[in-house]
Amino acid sequence: MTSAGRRLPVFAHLPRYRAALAQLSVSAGLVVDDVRGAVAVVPGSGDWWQAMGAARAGGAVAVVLSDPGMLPPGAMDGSLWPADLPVIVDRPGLRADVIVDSMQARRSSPPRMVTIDSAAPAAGMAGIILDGVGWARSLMGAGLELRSGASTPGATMALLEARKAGAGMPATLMATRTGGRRPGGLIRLVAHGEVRTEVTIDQPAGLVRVETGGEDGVFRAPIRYEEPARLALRRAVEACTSGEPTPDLADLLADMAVAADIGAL
Amino acid sequence: MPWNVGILGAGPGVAALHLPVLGRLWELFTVKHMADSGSGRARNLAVSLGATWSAAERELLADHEVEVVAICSPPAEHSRQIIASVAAGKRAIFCEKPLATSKEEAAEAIAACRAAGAVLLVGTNHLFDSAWGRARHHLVALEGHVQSISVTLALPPNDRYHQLVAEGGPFVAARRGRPDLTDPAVAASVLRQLLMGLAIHDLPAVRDIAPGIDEVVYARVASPVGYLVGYRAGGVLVQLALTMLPQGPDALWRMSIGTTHDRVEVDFPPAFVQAGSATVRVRNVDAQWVTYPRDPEDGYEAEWRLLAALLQGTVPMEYDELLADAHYGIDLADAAAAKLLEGVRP
Repeated sequence: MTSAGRRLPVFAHLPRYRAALAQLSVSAGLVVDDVRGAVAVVPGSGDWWQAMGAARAGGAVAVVLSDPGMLPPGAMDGSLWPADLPVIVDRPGLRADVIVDSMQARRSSPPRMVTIDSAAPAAGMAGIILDGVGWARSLMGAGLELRSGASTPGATMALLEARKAGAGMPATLMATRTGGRRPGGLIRLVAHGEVRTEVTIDQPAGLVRVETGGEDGVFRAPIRYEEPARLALRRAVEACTSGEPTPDLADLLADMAVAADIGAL
Repeated sequence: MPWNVGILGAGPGVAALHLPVLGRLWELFTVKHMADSGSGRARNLAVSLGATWSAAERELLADHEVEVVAICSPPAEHSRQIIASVAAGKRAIFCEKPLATSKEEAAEAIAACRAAGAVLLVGTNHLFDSAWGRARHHLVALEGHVQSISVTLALPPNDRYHQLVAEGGPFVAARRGRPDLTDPAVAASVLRQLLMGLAIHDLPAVRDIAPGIDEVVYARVASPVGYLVGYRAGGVLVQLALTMLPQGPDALWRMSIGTTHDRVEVDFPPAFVQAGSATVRVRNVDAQWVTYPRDPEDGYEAEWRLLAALLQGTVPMEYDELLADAHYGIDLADAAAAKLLEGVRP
């Protein structure tokens, strides 16, 4: 519900968002005829940047970008996007609430190094690398840059670096192409340091696990049962209500730039 | 009758690791003699075992009761002590990793053992862990091809584990000041030492499935102490990562092998604590996870049992494999150090 006490209209065709709207019956409601004044749900397949532009031109008050695929470098220019038009990016492998869980469990202890191991069929590889980069950025608290790497027909490895407060923090990525017909893939990420965060995202297996370890033992974050679509819509309502800028789009474009560099190895 | 063992060195690896293992394998080995370079630690350890002690390697090698020499001294001494042990007529040598610090030294040590028919075993304990054998079997049996290998180590101070398996510490020498890793020459030297001291645990197993080193793609040291090395071995990409921390969670020592079908993860237990074999997990192409049961015996015990089998002649000596393993580690350490210095030196 907006600050004006009305349901926020949501313009969505994707079934999972329509289902999520049924779970947000107080704060949001479906509109089917016009995006003006509504939150526009933009599918992340195809040229979603153009679709987002169309939603903006149509008068949307916010955009939820659903599971965006990689676009070619240069296809997007984040600086052209108006800062007062919130964008919530729904990335199934990079849920905002799970990221918050993992950060809170670290209690501000910075990682010394991050290692990302991932595996996916060729069709899902770009998305897995994108989410792996996003996880590393989130846990390291800084954007990444590619330093070096190599690729074979079966795998890609990369040395990355995040710069924070003038210091470089290294990260590595190993992405292995596997067989399999199920969509998505596996991310095994470890943020090393005095506190260790171990993240396992296995989309085909339906597994999301975040464990935080220290000398006293290991804490496993609770399973987040809220549907990603509901989470994304709820965040969109909150953004529209608060007027606070959201970092999702800038983060996505930064991750995509790094993932594109890795993909070009 | 058990084989009589003489141990060169009395550091934490001996006190916390080999002596307990040999105690467990009393029917195969008896510690007869211990020698250090004058620290007095050998005496303290030997007394509790009823063994002889000396402050010089020469006396231990001259001890006719000693049949098996366990070389647990600093790496720079290893090849020379192997050759000296063979010259003293010893039947077998257990040498802590690495076998040698240069290819020439490795070749000389192997040649001496081969000429004398002496048994030689290098203590790369992960290679002998039954869990690795299971993982290796899985990789051979499945249809897929190995595409990638990641070996990731995150290690707290060893003293945490020494205290659980030994008395009389601290076993780790006081820190002499942190090396200046901003100096490329120092960084390259540290990188080489870390690879020869820690990565060497797994390199024989890595070589088993990714022989050869075609190109080191990147190599750097990491703060506070660690490394990141990536290299290409034929069609396989290999990545090694280490971070050593002053405090934090228990050790993580994981080898992950990605194939066209499956992903195999081998989690080794912390060093020293004799917590059984590694844990092997397999994620197959249908995203099913299988975790294999662990064995109570760890790689340390297995390597000593293998030494007994070599002495009994039930297992053949493979000198060429030992030499190839040594060359692999030395080649990688040299190439990684050179990569780190690339573009720095005029």
